[in-house]
Amino acid sequence: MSDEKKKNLPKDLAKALEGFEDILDLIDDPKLSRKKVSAKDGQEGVGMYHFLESELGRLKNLDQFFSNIDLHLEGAQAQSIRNKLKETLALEKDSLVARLCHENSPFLQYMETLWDTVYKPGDPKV
Amino acid sequence: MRSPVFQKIEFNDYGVSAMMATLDKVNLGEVPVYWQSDIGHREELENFLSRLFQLLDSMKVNPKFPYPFYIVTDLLTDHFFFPVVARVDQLPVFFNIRAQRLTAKEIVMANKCALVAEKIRNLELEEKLRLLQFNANISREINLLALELEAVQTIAKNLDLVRAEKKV
Repeated sequence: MSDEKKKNLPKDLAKALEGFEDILDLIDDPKLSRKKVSAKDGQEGVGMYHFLESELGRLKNLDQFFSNIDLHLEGAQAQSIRNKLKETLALEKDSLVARLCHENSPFLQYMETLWDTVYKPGDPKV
Repeated sequence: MRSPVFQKIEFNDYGVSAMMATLDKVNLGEVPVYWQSDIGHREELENFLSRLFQLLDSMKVNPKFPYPFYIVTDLLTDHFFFPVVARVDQLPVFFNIRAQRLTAKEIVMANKCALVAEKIRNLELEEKLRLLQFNANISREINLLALELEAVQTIAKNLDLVRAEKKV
């Protein structure tokens, strides 16, 4: 009973009710007192509802995304684009090599110059 | 009705039957879950994860959709099947809400979520994810080929310019 605290009453009223405090529920007992509802408690409830709302939105988006994937497509168009690109690239490379590697081509001349700067037959340094 | 917030899985035994019993107790695929690894060796962890993969595969549970199955370990950076994070605080904050008793209004919303999640689970996810991965790979390949073609064409164009300048 040490935690008990009498409620503040006017002196004359407190004197008149002396001995009847327990019955009239005039004592604050912390064990019996209700848990105070904080503003945070209310927010937690709102937080869970808000979370569930967001979760429902996320799931609906996922559902829409996966429902729109057609398993029959199998990327046929992408495969044909890839094959066409491969063919074009091979042709372009062949043409470039033919242009660069003919006799006396600028590329071969440049390579010759480069080669000569580092190696000359009969050079005593080598 | 259980709210879809993170649930921690603990395996007391790493044997297949004990793992199966643990997984049966958890509502896999209905709530996001994570397992914090206490295995110290990478090889041992990989063996454990391959067993776990086989179990989930047999249960037709996808570890990413609709709800994730995270592995918390710093021994791996990624895994072909499971999403991996190094620490618990790296788990998505979205699902990190304190589980509490739901009110009637929240139960209605949670039921709706469960219904849509069930619909997603029945969507042949494995096949669709495989197709997505296939398309992603092919798109990446197309991108690289297109870049290479552009480079080759630029060289050819520059050669033409050089020749034209020489003629002039």
